Amino acid sequence: MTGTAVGSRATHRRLAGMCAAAILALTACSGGDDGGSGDDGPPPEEVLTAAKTTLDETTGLNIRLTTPGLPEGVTGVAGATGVVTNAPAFEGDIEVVLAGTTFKVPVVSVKGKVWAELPGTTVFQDIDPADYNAPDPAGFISGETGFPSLLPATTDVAEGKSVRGGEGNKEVLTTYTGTVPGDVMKNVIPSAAGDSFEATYQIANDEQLREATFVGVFYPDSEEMTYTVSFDDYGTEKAISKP
Amino acid sequence: MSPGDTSGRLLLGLASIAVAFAAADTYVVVLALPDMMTSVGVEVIQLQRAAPIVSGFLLGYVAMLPLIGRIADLRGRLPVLTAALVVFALGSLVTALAYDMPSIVTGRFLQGVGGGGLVPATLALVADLYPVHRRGVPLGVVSAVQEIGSVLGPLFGALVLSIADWRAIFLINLAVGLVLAAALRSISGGRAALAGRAASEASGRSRPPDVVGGLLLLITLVAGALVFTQPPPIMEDLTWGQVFIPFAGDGRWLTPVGAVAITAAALFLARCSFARRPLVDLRGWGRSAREADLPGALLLAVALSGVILAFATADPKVQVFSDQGLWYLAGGALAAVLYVRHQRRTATPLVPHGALSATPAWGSLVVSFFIGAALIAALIDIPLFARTTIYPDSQLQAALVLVRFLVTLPVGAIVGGYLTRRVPAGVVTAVGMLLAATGFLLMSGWDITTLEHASATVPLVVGGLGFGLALAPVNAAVLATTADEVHGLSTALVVVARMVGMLVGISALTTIGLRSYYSEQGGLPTVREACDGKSRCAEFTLLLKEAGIAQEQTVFLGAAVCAVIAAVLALILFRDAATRDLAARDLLRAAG
Repeated sequence: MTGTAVGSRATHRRLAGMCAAAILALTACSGGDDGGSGDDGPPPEEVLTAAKTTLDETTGLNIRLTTPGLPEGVTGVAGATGVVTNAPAFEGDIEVVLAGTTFKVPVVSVKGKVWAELPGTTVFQDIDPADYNAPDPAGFISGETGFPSLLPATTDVAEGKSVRGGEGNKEVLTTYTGTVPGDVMKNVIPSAAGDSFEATYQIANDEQLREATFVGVFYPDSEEMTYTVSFDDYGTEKAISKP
Repeated sequence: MSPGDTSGRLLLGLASIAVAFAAADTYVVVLALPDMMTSVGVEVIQLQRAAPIVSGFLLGYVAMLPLIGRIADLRGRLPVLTAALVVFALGSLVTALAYDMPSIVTGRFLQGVGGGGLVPATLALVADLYPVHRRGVPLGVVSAVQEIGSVLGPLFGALVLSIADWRAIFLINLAVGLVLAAALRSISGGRAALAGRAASEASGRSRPPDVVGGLLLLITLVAGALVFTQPPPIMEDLTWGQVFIPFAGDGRWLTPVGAVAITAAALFLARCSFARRPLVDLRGWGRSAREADLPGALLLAVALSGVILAFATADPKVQVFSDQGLWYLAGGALAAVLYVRHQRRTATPLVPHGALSATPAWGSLVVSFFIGAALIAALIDIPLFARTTIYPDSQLQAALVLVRFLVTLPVGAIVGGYLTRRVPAGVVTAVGMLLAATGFLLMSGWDITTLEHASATVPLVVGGLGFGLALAPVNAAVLATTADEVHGLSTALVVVARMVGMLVGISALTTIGLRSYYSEQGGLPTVREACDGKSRCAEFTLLLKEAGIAQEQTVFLGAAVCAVIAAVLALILFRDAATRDLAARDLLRAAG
C-alpha cells in the first residue's frame, strides 16, 4: 500500500514502461530498427536552417505548447493551443498559472495587440501579455522573436535517432539535439533566466519542424523545467481579427 | 454459524475495511478536485463541468444498491464482495490512468458500482454470521466504519496529495482493492458453506482456471493501458509506434492498439458468456442481475445520469441549461417515468407495493434528499473555499478545515438519537437542519480572510452538529411507519435518497451558483480599469479570487435554502410519526 506513495507521475511512467515490456514480450518480436539515418544526410546545422526557412515561409500552423509542470510558486504559462499565422496573429487558448491555480484563457492576438477573456469575465479585453510573464503568442513563429529564431542559434547540434511522431503518430522524424544560449531564448520567452537551454528538435523529411523540447530555467529564481512545442498543419490559412 | 468463528470475524473485518475504503472514496476527491480538473483540462471556475467526478461515483453507488442486496442473496456474500472489490479496483485503475473527462468519470462510476456493492453484501454477511439478537454491535461497527471512512477520506486524500499527485490516491485504491479481494478469496476456500445458496460457485474453486479467458483479459488490460497512457518509448519507436496510428480521424481508440483492446475485451466477454468453465461466470451473474431487477437499476441510472449530464454541459455564462442539457434532462425524466411504471407493474418490485405509503415514510426520503443536497455543498465547497482563499498550496490544511465540520457530526448524531426519544422526530430534524442552515448562512458571508480567524470554526461546528442531529430522527420516522420486514430496505432507501440529493445538489447548486453570479455581476470590470491602465495587478488578482469566492458563497446560500426546505418538510411530513417508542441504539445503528 505504501509502495504506491511515490510521485505518481513517475508511477504513471513506470506503469507505461511495464505495459510496453509486456506487449513486447507478448508478441515476442525483436522490435523495430530505430538507429540514426546514417551519415549520408545533410549536416545537422543545414537541416535546422532549412526547417527555419519552412517556418518562415508558411502562412500559418497549429501550435501546441505543453509542460509537465511549472515550478512551484511560479506565475507563468502552463500551456497554449491555437492557430498562429504570419499576419502575425494568434487565436486559441493560453493556460496561465496564477496563485497556484491554472486558468485557461481564450486569447486573440493581431498585429501586436492582445485580447484575452480573463477568468471570471465574459468579454475579451486588451491586455499586455508581459504582465502575465507570457510572450505575445502571435510571435511564436516570427523569424526574429519566435521559436524559428532558436533553430539557427542552436549550437553543438548532433543528429540523434529516428522516432515516430507528428499528427496521428504517422510520420518518421529525425531527432537533433543542441544547446540554445539563454539570451536568444529570452527573445522568445521573455522570462527565460537560464544561461543555456538543452534543445531537442524532431524534424520531418519535408524540412518541417514537428516538435521542439527545451529544458532549462524559464522563470527567474526557479528550478529547471521543460517546454514542449509541437507544430502541425503547415500552410494553414486563417483570417484572425480583433474580437 | 457462530459469532465466535475466527475466520467469520476475519471475513467481516476485511469486509469492513473495504466498506471504509469505499466510503472514503466518495469524498477522497474533494481536495484533489482542483488538480484533477487541471489534469483533464477543466478550469477551476468551471466547477459545474467537474461535478461528475464526484457525482459519477455516487451514480454508480446508487444504481448498484437496489441490485446488489438481492444478488447477494442469490449468489452468496463472498462472490459478491469479491466481485465488488474487483470492479472497484478496475474503476480505480481507469481513474488513475484517465486522460480526459469521460475516462475519469467512467473510472469513478466503476468505483461507485464496486463501492455500492460492498455495503449491502457486508450487512448480509453480518446477518449470516450473527443471530438476530446479537447483530446490534456488528451492524453498529459496519455503520461506524462507514462514517469513519467518510471523515478520514478527505484527510487520507490530503496526506497522499502532500507527497504525490492525485493519481497516487487511485493507485493506492487499486492496490487495496486487489489485496482485499485476494484475501477474501483465500479465506473463502475454507468457507464454502458461506456461499450458501450459490453452492456451485464453491465447487468451482477446484477447477483449473480458464487459460484462454485469462490471456484475453491480459491482452485487454495491456492494450487498454497502452491506449490510456500512450507511453513515449513505444509511441516513438519506428515499428511499434505504428500501432498508435488512427485508422480514421484522431481518436485514441480507432487505432490498431485500440482495436486490439476492444476486440480482446469483446472476445473475453464472449468467452466468459459461452465457455463451459469461464473465468468470470457472466451467464450466472447475468441471470442473477435479471432476477434482481436489472431493468429497474438501469432506468434509475439513466434517470440520474440525465440530471448529471444536463448540469455538466451547462455554460453558466450564458444559461443554466444548454439546449443539449435540456435533452439530457428530458431523457432523464422519461427514464424516471418508465422507472415508476416499471415499479408499479413488476410482480416483485424493489419497493414492495404500499411499503412506504405512510406520509412520514415517503416523507423521510424527500427530507433526506434535501439533507443530501445541503450536505454535499459543505463537503465540496468548504475545502474548496479554503483552497481558493488561504491555503492555495496546502491540501492538508484545507482538509483540516473540513474536519472541523466533520468531527461534530457524530456528536450531533448521538445527541439526536437521544433527543428523538423525548421530542417528536420532525422537531429534532427541523432543529438540526435549521442549525445547518445557520452554519451555511454564516459561511455565505465568508470573505477572503475569514478562515484566518478562529471564529470561522463556529459555522463549521454548528453546521456539522446540525447535520448530525438530523440523522437519527429521519430514520426514526421511516422505521416507525413501515412494517418490520421492510425496515432494512427502507433505511437503505433513506441513504439512497440522501445520495441522490447529493448528486443532484452538487450539480445543481454549482451550476445555479455560477449562473446567478454571472448574471448579477455581468463579469468583472476590465483589467485596464482595475489596474490603472496596466493589464495585471494585485487588485485584479484579488477580484479574480473574489469571483471564485462569490460562486462558493452562492453555493453555501443554496445549501442553506435546501436545509431550510428539509426542516420545513420534516415538520410537516413527520407529524404523524410515533417515533418516541424506538430505542436510540436502533436509530443510530440505522443511520449509516
